[in-house]
Amino acid sequence: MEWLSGKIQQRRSIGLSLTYKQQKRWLGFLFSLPALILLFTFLILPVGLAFVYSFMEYNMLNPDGKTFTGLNNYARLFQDAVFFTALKNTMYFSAVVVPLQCAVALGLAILVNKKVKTAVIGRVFFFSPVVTSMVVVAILWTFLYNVDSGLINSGLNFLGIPDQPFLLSEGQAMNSIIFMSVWQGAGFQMMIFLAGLKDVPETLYEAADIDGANAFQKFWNVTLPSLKNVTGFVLMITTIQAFRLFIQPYVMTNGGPSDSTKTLVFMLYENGFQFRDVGYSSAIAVVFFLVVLTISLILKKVLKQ
Amino acid sequence: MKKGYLSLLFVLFAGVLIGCSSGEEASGEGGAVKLSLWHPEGDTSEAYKEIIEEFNKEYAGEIQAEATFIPRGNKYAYEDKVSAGATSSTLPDLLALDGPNVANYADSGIIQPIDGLVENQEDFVDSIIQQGTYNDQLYTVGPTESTVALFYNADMLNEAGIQPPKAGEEAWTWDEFYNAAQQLTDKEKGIYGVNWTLDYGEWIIYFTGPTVWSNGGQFIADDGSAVEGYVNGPETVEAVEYLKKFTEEGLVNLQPTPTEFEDGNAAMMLMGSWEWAKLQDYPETNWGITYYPKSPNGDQVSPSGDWNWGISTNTEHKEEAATLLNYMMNEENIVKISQVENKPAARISSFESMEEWNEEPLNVLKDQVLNTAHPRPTTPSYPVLTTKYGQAVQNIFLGGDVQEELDKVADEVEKDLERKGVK
Amino acid sequence: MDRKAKNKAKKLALSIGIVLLGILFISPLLWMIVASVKPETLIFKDMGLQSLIPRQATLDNYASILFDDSVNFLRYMWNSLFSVGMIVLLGTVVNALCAYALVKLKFPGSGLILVVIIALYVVPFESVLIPLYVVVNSFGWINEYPSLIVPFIAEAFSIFLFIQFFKGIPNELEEAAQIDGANPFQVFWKIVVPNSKPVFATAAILAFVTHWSDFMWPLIVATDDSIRTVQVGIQYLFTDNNIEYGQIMAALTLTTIPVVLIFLFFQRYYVQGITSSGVKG
Repeated sequence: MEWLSGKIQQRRSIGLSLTYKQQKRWLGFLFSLPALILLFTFLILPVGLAFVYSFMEYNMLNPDGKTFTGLNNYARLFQDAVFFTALKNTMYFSAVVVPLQCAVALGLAILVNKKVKTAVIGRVFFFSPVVTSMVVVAILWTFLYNVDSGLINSGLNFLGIPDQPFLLSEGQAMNSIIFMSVWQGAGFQMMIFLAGLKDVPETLYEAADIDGANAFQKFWNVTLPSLKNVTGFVLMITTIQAFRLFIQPYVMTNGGPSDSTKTLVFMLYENGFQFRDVGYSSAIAVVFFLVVLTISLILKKVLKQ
Repeated sequence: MKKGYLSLLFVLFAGVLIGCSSGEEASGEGGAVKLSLWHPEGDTSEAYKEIIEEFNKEYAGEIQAEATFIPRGNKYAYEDKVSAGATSSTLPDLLALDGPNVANYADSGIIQPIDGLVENQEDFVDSIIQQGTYNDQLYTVGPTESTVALFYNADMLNEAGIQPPKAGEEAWTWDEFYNAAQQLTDKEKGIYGVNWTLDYGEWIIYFTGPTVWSNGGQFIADDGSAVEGYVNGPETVEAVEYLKKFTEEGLVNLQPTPTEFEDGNAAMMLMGSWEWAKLQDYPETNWGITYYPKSPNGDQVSPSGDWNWGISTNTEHKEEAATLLNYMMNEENIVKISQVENKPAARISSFESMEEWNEEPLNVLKDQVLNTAHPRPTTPSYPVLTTKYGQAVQNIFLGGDVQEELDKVADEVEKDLERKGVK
Repeated sequence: MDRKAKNKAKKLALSIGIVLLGILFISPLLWMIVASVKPETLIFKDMGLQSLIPRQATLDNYASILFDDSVNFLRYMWNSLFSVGMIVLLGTVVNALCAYALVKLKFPGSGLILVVIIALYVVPFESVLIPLYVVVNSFGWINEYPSLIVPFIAEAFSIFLFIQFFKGIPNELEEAAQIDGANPFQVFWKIVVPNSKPVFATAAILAFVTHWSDFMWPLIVATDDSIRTVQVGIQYLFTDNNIEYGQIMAALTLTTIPVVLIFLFFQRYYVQGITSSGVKG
C-alpha cells in the first residue's frame, strides 16, 4: 500500500499523474481485494459446493458414493410437513423478536448514552449476556425455566403468580425462547445503536432545547430521524439473525414439544449432521437462503421509503 | 508510528498464512508404522494414554500409536468430528464409536470387518459382540458395557415398608413397580416416586428399550427391513403407554434437577450403571440397586451398549491396527479401563477378576450385563430412528397420543430405510 | 429548587435506575456466578430466589479447573485470545478497507459486490460447515492456527456495518482533503478512521464476542490439545455421564472475564464523532 501510494506520488511528480478519480478506481479495487479473496475462498466457494450438493444424494460418511438425483431433494422438501412447521415457527419467532429486540436495544442504548457516571456499568451489564456463549446461556435458562423449582417461577410466585410450564408447553415454549433471546441479544444491537447515537450532532439537541422540547419530543424529532440509517441496518441484521435461530431450541427443547420450536436451521442441522444426509440438508439451506434473502430485500425496499 | 502499525499488520497476516505450512511432522523413528486413534475425551482418556504409552514401549521401532481425545460436548460433537473426517477422508486408523453407530458406520463403509482378528473373542460378553456385528460380520469390540437399573433410596423404601427384589427372577413386574412409585410419591413434600432423566440425546431409546423388549415389542424387524408394525406395534405401544402413566400421574418429574435422587427428592431412579460413581459424593444418602422391572408377560431385560473400537477403512495398516486393538482389549487393560468409571467389563475374565462386582450393590448390575442384556437395534437408519423415537417419547410424556406419535416415527424411519436401500 | 439542583437529582435518579436495570439484566448470570462458588452437592438443592445467596462458599470449582493437570485451561484461554484477537485485528482492517472502497471509491462492479456481500450474511454457518471443512482441509490447516483465523477475517456482517457508517461521512470532508493533495488511502487513514472510532469499536467488539463463543468449528478443526480454544476446552466438563455443574459455571465465569475486559477497553472509543457536524440522515 505504502509502495503504491509512493508510486502514485512519483508518477504525479513526473507529470504522468493519475487523476483522483482514476486513483479511486484503482485503489478501490485494491482495497476490497483482500476481503473479496477471503470471502470467495471461505464463503462463496463453500456456498457453491452446498448448492451443488443440494442436487445430490450424499451420505456424509460416504463421500465417494454421492450421485446426482436432480430435483429429488427439493421435491421431498415440499412434501415434508416438518418443513412447513419449521418455516412457520421461524417466521413467528422473527416477527416477534425483531421489533421487540430492536426496541429494547434502542432504549438501552439511549440510556447508556447519557452522560452519567453509571453509564459504563450499564453498558457492561446490558452487554454481558451477549458475551456469554449461547450454548451455555441456553443451559442456564433451562434451569431458570424449571417448572417446579426454577428461579423465574419462584420470582413469579413471590409476586403472587402461579407456576408456568414454560418450555414444557406447546403454547409457551417458543415465547419462552423469544424472551430469553431478547435478553441475550439486545446488547448486541445496543452497541450498534450506541455507535449511531455518537453520530447524532449535539447541536440538534441544543436547538431542540432552545425550542423548549421535552424528552419525548427530542427522541421523536431528533434522535429517531438521525438514526434512520442505523435503524434500518439494525432491523435488517436482526431479521437475518432471527431467521438463523438454532442453538436455543437445540439445547432447551430439542424442537419440541410437538415440533413447536423446530426451526429451519434446526432442521438443516438435524438432517445434515444427525442423519448425515448432506443432500437434503443442502436443499434446506438453499431454500432458507432464498426465503431470507427475499425478505431482506423486501425489508430494504420498505425501509427506503 | 502509523506506518509501523501497518507494516506490523502485514507481517502478522503473512505470518499467519505461512505459519501453517510448517505442519508436517517428521516421520516416526526408524520407519515404525504410525497409527492414529480417536476417542472421546473423558475420564478414561488418562487410562488410554497410559496403555498406549506402554504399547509404544513394547513395540518400539515397529509401531507408534498416537491418540487424539475429542470432546463430546453435551450432544453429538464427537460424531460431527467423525463425519467431517469421513467426508474429507482424514479418519484415523482406529476409531472409537458408540455402540448404536456400528451399523450406520459399517453400512457407510467407514469401518471394516475384523472377523478373525480379535484374540480370545469368545471371552467377550454376548451383548458386546452382538452390538459390534452388522450383516453377520464383526466390526467392533469395546472394553466396557453399561446397563440401566433401578436405584432406590433405602430409607424411604423402608419407611414405606417396601421390599426391593434381591434376585433377577424376583424383579418387580410393571404393576409392582407402578404401585411402589405411587406409594412413594408425596406431592405435598415435593417427592417423586421415580426419577428418570429426559435428555435429548441417545438416552431415551436406551432407557425405555427394556420396557419395550420385555413386553415382546421391537423397534425394527429382525432382518432390519421394516419398522412399520414394530416401533408402532401393539406391544411397543403398550409399553410406552405404561411409561406414560408415570408422567401423567405425576410420579415422575418432567424437569428434574440433575441431583433430584441424590437430594432425596425422588425415592427411586431408573439410571445408568455409571451413576454409582456420582452417588459416592453423597455418603449421607442410603441407597441400593435393584433390577429393571419386567413386563408381566415377559422376561426381565436390561439395555446394553458402550463405546467400541473399529478399524477405519482409511487405514493402510490394518494388521498393525489389529495388534493395537488386541493390546488395548486384553484382559488386564480392560480391567484398567473399566475401573476408571467403574463400568462393567466387557471381557468375562476381566469381569470375574474384579471382586467388588460380586457384592451388593454392584452384583445386580453384573447380573444384568451377563444375563439379561439386550443390544439396541442395528440398522443403518438408526440415527433417524433414535432421534424421531426420542422426540416422540418426549411428546408422549408431555401428553401426546402414543399410537399417533409412534406412527409418525414409523413413517419417517420407513422412508429412510427406503432411501438407504434397505427395503 | 434551582435548575442545577434539579438537574443533579435527575442525573442521580438516572444513574441509580441504570444500575438497578443492569442488575436485573445480569441476574441470570449472577445465578451462574453464585453456582460456581457452591459445592457441587448443593447447587440444585434449591433453585428459587433463595439460591442466589450461597449457604456455603468454596473456590474448589475454580481450583479444579485452573490446576487440574490434564486440563490446560490457561493454554486454551491463550489460544482463544490469540486466534480471536487476530480475527479482530486483521478483520477490522480488511473489512473497513473493503467497505470504504465499496462506498466511497466506487469502481466497476462495486454495486454488484455490495449486493453479494449482503446476501452472504444470510448464509447460516451450519450449512457451509462441511464444505468449509473440505476447503480448509485442502490447505492442510487442520490443527493449525490459520484454520481458526483466516476463514473469519473477511466477514459480510462487518463490511455491512462499516458501509452503513461510512455512508454517513460527508463527502465534503474528503473533498477538502483531496484538494490538499491527499490520495484515497491517505483520506481513509487520516480522515475516515479517526472520525469513525465508535464504529471501529463496535465492529471489534462484535467480532470478538461472536468468535469468542464459537464452538462447532474449533471443535472440528482444532482437536490438538495445543491449539484448542477455551470453548472447546471446557467441553470436557459436559462429557460423560457425571456432569459437574459447579465446575461448568466456574469455567463459564472465567471465560466471560476476558471479554468483559476487552469490552471495557473498546467502549472508551465511543466518543462523539466529528462527522456529526450536519448533513446526516
